[in-house]
Amino acid sequence: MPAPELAIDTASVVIRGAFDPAAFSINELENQGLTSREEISGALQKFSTSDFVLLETQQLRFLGNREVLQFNAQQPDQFSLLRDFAVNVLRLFKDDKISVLGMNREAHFVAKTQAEWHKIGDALVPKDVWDGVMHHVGMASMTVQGAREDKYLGFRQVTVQPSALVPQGVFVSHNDHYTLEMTDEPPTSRDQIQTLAKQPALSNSDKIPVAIRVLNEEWENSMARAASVIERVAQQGSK
Amino acid sequence: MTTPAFSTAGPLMPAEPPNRRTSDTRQRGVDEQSATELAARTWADSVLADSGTSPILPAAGPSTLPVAESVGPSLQDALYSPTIDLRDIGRETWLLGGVQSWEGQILEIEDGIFTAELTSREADSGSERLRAEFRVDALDTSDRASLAVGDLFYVTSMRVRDRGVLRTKYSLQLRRAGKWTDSDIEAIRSRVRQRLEALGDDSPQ
Repeated sequence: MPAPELAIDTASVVIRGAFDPAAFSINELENQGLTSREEISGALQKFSTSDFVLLETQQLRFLGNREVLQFNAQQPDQFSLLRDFAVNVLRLFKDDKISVLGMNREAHFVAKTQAEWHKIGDALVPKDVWDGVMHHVGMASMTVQGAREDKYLGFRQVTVQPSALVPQGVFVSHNDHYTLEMTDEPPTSRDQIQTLAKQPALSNSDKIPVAIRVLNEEWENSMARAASVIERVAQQGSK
Repeated sequence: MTTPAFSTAGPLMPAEPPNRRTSDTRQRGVDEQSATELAARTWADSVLADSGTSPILPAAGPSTLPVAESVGPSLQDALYSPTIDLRDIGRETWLLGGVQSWEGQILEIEDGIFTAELTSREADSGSERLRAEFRVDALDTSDRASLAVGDLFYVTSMRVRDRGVLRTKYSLQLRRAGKWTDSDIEAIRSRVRQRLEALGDDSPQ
């Protein structure tokens, strides 16, 4: 089956912790060489206060407050720049505390036919379980979570929905969640992942170098894992 | 009768934001003096106060948001305006797996041309290096003035279908390393020393 063609393909990094937004004001980003005056003056959106910052250039969107930082890119050729930007912003917080990191990829692809589109939903959420209790059952949203086989504690979560943006489209979201702790033993059961997903992650400043390492070492892997998921979902339409 | 696999009639669960439609406000900008700024900021704080690491704020914008008590552009508009221009969706599609990228380092700049060494970023590409020349004006305007030997950049090629025609699109983007102070570098050296000591090597370089 040929690879699906993506109508939308975006990536994001989400970091939770305790931040001082003044450290990443738009002026400070420029002072630190993370963005240029031209980019700032040509920004689609820019806003920064002592509590909040939002900067959206042609390439990236960055926003943050005292609890969370989020970085977005909307095309695959901008994904690596997004990772670099997130790493550089994290470097400004070497004494702050962070708890978790998420690397995300979200895509919308178009099923070739209406029948393929339905087959994807039927394969992911078999409908016979609803026989006799519901009629014309359709999948509105499906989320699964699973283990990641690397040295970092965390899990993966995949959500599939009918696309609200693309006709006959399918939306696939892949979240690689890191609690920024190392492990020698990846989870060996679904129960362990369930427990991990519910556990509140602790914040500390030792996690910043770990987050930088995860972004540097695992970004490409995470994007590739997400691509495999998107491909697998698309394949369900042609089975 | 075909049983619909996907339903669009029922109310969606508090859906993942990147899969929601919104009005396109990307050109409206932000009025930093908006009287609703405080309310919007409080609202934004509550939106951001989740616990997961999926993106909270959308690439493509939501449709089921609390309505801001604002008549003009506000922070809320700004936050929930899509980074994707919805008018362009579907005009260009790209093949999953059709993206290739290289990392380049500039070796020489002369007469509007720079020479660089490229390393493929594909996992199975080995350590093969290529040498290539590019026009300086292939870079973004803001990057041209500060271009220097040693700078790093990305080259990406994407197989895209543009209005039905398959073609390859290339982009060159300068990497921003940010500013590094002596203490930053010393902190890294210190961490390297600690790691080497932990590995039993007491002769760090």
